[in-house]
Amino acid sequence: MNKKVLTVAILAVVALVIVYLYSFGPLAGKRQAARPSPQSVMPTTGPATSQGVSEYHNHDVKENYYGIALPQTWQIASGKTPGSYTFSFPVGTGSIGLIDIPDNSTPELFILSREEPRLRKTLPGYARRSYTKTTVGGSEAYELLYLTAPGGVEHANARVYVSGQDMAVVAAVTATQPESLALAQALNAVVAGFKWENR
Amino acid sequence: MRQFLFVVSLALLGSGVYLKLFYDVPDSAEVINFFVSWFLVIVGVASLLINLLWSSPRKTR
Repeated sequence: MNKKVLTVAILAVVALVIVYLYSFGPLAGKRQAARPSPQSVMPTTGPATSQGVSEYHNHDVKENYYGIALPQTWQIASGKTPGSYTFSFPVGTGSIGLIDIPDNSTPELFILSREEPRLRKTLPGYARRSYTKTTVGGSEAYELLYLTAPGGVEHANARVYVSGQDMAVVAAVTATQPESLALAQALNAVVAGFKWENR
Repeated sequence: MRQFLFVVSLALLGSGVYLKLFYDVPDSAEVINFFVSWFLVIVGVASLLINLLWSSPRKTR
């Protein structure tokens, strides 16, 4: 074995050790991950902003930029994961976030085979009310309406999955008044101002 | 034998590059993908270099 070969072998072993440390070892936390940007919760102002509505532009996750417009009376905050928001309105709460749909699946298959079983398993009193295909901001979307009963109190819920080029956006809204129009109004407010902003 | 190892090295490198750049990684598998793709790239490049640098014994007449 000559010196060059030995050097390459040693360098390869060192590189593998470093990769292992960056993957599973103490250096794993140093890998840069997408983080929620403070700018994403700063509403934009200007001629494009409609009266009573604040626009937000989320550029946290590359290839998955989107904009939303929510009523100014709502409380909005950055979510725990990049590209997400949480919000509350007078009779409920909600969230908007990115969700990864594998390439070997379709949004519809993913929702029916993964998401709904997960919701049924984790949410007490889950009962589907409707499931419809729709369009949001010019993109294919799926709307799932369901009831839950956390603590014996019935809540009305809606989830809208909007397909994107890479990931999908899921908007979830929960209203504490199951039979009121609050859920529909809140859901309309969320989806009306949604648009993908990929260039 | 050497040509066979060369092809294997190329396959390792190609697999690593594919996993790194083109494979749609589920959110839950990003760490393992990071490790496996870099593992394949490093092993592929190293074995290619070793293959090219390995000096064959000179034949004497």
